[in-house]
Amino acid sequence: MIRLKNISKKYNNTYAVKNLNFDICNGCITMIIGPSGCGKTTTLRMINRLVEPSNGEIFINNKNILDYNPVALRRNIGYVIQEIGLFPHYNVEENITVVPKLLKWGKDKIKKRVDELLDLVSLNPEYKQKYPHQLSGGEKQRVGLARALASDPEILLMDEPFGAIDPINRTKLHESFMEIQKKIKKTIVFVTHDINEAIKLGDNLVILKKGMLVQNGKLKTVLNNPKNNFVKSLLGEDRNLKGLVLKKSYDFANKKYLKIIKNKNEIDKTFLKKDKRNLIILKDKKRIKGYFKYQNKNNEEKIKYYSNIVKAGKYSNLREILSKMMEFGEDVAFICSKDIFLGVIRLADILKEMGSNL
Amino acid sequence: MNKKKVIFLFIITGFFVFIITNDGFFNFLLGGLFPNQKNILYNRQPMVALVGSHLELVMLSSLLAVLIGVTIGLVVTRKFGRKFLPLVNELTSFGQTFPPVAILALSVPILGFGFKPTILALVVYSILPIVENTVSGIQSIPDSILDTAKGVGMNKFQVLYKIELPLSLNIILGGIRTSVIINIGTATVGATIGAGGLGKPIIAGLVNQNSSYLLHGALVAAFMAFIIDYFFSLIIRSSKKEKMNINGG
Ligand SMILES: Nc1ncnc2c1ncn2[C@@H]1O[C@H](COP(=O)(O)OP(=O)(O)OP(=O)(O)O)[C@@H](O)[C@H]1O
Ligand SMILES: [Mg+2]
Repeated sequence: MIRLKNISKKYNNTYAVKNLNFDICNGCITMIIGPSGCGKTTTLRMINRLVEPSNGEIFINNKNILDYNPVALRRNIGYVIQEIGLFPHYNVEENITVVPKLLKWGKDKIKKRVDELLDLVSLNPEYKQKYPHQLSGGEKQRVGLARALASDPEILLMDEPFGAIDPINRTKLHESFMEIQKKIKKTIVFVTHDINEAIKLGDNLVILKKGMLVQNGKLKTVLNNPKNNFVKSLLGEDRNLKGLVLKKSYDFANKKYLKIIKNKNEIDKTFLKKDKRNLIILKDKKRIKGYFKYQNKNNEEKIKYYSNIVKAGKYSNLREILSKMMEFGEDVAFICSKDIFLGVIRLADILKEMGSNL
Repeated sequence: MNKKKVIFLFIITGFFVFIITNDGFFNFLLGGLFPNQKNILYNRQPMVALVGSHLELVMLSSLLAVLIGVTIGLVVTRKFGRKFLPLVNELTSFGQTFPPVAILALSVPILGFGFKPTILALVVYSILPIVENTVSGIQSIPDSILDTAKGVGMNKFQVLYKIELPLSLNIILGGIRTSVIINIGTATVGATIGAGGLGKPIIAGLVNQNSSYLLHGALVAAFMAFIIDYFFSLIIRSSKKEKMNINGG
């Protein structure tokens, strides 16, 4: 557990953060959120002593961090920033092994660890020899994450790690980040100014404003009991939709009313006709190509094929899926985790969930 | 490193060694240019010896300039030395407006004639581009890279030699290149105060109105400068290819 006790930081007589008191629980993701300049980065950097507080104390597992040598402390805390800061003269492998080398691990152990880490962040082993300038933004951030996790630290500090990445790749990174965290269960302190990201990834929220703590606690608690108007406006006003963000797609994906075929001539028309919910999905080994649906318009019966499908990941929440459906004018979304098809979520399923929230 | 360019470097260096060890080439060239001149080649000292002492002046002064210049550049970019940065910036930009000959003249009253004042003048003058480039090389490294270097647990020394020096190496080498080339030229002036080197035939040529002597010394010095400059362009290019642009990280 990380405990901040009366933490303040002054720069030239103005407080960057003032009197912060909160705990960060082990094995969960704590999102620090607030407007620009509210002291998020300062708070984060005090945990690995890149910034020393003017007042107050920080404890990690009940030990004051001043009792650690700062260099040794940092080697045992992963650190990821928005600019990533990969070392441009090191290739991917050298970047990832920086900390193990500082810790003087043996060669074999380091080699094994590189393979584990690349696998963890879903990068092909061929990437080992590439230099940062040969990588895309998303790939760089995966390498940055691998570097931070290299020595298997208990704590990971992340400062807007996905902030500079385009929305589509950010969604992908979110998915793999959640997948990774499920395996490694680190204590993660994650700074963001994007409330959707905070809600999507966080177990806990710490909300700051002008250097002061406004509210902190479990995501669900904060969502259901926003302390004041500031928190309310930060979370957004739409109460029904808000409930949807807590619901992850893996709980709702289902294979009811579905048939999967590999070839177009396997279409079973009577199956489609039997129930208007029924769908036949065309899928080759890995990819869903489209689906068939029975339509009855102006008494004209038709089997219609849709190839423009809405896809979402396992950890997407229902609000995201709903807005994707709206955007594409579809009423069904396909949930996949990597290449595994988990099922579909229909618009009706989401509406039913909203109803139960009211 | 580009193989063809390395081979070219070897060829021109070989040619250089050939023309300074055999008088035939210059006898032919300068004899053709100055048919009425009785003494074509400077003969009080063999050309190899002149090149040798010239190189000694240049290498010794450049080595000292690198040691002192890089050290100053690194000190003023550390936290404890940052307060001297404006002063050093002023001095380097002012110093470069000063002609090297003037420094040479000023050092004679202090150190007398000969080798030492020449070295001093060369060192003082050639420190400037090295300091300047070391500072700008270090400052060109994005804060985010230094921040993560510190953040992953490198100590100050490790940040310096694992990150800062490799990433600013090209720019520092650029400064060293400039100062070595300047030194090759300026060292010829050292002959006026008795330091030897390729300035000797040049001065002798001026004094005796012998253009052939003068050209002999000047051509060899220019050729030497060309080879060394070419050598620097090779090592700078090759490290650049690997290290690419800093912002790639
Ligand atoms: N080194 C510094 N010197 C002086 N003031 C600073 C320094 N670092 C931060 N500050 C000030 O402290 C306040 C908090 O900065 P901080 O970087 O923690 O904000 P932030 O919440 O991370 O903002 P953003 O979302 O824009 O990253 C700001 O007003 C900032 O100007
Ligand atoms: Mg910040």
